Amino acid sequence: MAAALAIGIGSERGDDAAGLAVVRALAGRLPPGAVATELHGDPTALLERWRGAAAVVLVDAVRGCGPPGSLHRFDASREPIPAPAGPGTHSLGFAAAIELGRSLDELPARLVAIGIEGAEFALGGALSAPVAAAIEPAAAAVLAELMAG
Amino acid sequence: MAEARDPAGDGARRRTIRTDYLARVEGEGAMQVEVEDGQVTDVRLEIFEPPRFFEAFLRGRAFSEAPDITARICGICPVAYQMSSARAMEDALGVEVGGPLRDLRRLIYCGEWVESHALHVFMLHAPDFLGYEGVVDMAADHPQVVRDALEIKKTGNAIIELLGGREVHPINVRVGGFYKLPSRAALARLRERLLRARELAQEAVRWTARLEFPEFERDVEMVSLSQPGEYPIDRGRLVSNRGLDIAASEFDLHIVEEHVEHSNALHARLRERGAYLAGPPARYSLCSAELSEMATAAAAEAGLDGECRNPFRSIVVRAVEVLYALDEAVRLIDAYEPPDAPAAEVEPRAGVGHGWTEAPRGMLYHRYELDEQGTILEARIVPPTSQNQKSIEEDLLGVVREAIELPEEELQLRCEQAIRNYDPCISCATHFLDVRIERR
Repeated sequence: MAAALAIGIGSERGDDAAGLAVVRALAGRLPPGAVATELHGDPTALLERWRGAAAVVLVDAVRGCGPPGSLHRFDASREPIPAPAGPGTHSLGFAAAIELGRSLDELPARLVAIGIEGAEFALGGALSAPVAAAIEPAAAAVLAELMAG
Repeated sequence: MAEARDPAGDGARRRTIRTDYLARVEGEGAMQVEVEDGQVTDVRLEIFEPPRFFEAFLRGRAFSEAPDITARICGICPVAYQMSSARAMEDALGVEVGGPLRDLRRLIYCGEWVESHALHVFMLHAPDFLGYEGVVDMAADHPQVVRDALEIKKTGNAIIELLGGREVHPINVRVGGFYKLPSRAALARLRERLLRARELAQEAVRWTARLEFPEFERDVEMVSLSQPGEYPIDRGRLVSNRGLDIAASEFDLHIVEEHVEHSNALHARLRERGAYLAGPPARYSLCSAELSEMATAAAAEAGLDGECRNPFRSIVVRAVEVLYALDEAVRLIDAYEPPDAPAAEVEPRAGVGHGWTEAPRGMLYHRYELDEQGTILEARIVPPTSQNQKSIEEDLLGVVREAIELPEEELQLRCEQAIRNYDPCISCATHFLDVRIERR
């Protein structure tokens, strides 16, 4: 298990693929001992994915945090990441999966989430221009987090 | 929210209790209960999530597209949609999928039962019985239960990933069979995981049996697929405890769907007798004799006596079905002999086809009409939550009648729990819940 782990979260639905694009952009640039991986499915799989890692950086598309393409940093090891209020859903979302990890005392010592504000989420759609332009800055931010860890 | 009022000015005592959002269900809806002078006068499950028009999307598409298009209706039970649509298309096209291909379909379906039920039992429903707001709170006090549940769920996902190509919205199912067959080595690796999950599931049944269940039973017509010699998953006739015994092609003769003003999901009822119950308690009550030895022993130890009439005990039935599905998956892998081809040959032709299978929440019916090129002319999909709406309302009526003296907050929670007994998938039915109890 890598000491530092970047996990890109997303699906091929327009800007929802931003997290995947960021970890793909990290290929060949990771510091020694760090690994980048993608997560497409069940959010609770995070708990297994990050087992043994001391520092984990999640990167995912977000909504409602700012203008499209803007980057947002959340220190999830200190406090819950802000999730949409209101009704629960049938499956646990990523914010709930992180809180489940906190309840089970299974959070990595350092857990940072980088959010990229998305604009368009159409099935099979490409990244929107502001999000495509944010991939490299987001990759640099993830690298900086991995090296700081 | 509770309020006592007398809008009619006739001195009658009317009360309103309202929960704006019922969590831990899929989709958007509301519930309203009206109580006047201590008597329940009206119960309505309101589904206001907008219609999704999947049936209209399907018109003009090729028959071969139906499994992948309909799988998008639900992120929790995509396999059920793929299976019912494939079965209906095969019926229309005169194709029979048997032998190892059928066993592989049953295997991927077992995966969906495991992941869907494990999610519902432990993440969504168990917090009701233990007084937690959700699984995150529950996990702090019951960490091992939640860890085991996650392991069980993950094993279900692993089955779907192996057979379906990926764990969410699998892409490997086609009319006639599969695109690609799993390797023996991959099935052998999966089998090892299944054995571990099966042990955890045995303990999970015991754990659910120790929960406290409200005393409540309702005399209801229960319907389930039934196939001699096997617990119903992927085929069978539709039978009930009141004499129903029909083929899929007879669906419309016996079941009618009605629009009701307070719901965007159609209400289904039996033409002859009205509301009916589909899903795990019905399957168990009608077909428990077909469970595997291991599942039967676990059910008996859990105090289920071959029938489940208390909807609150459906959590135990789901746990038994998780165990069964894992046990059945092991059996299917042990018996597997690779078929010659990953799919049967399918030639388009004009026709009408019907297909139904047992989704985790109950029977899911599809009907398609095709033209000579195999283009879809008409599509019809009747999901289990739509079928159970009337039954949910009748449960609520009974629950409120029996628990009317409970403090407001407890009664409200009891109602929400009664809805979650059904693991309702409102997005499938249409189509969250905002719970209101009005006492007048």
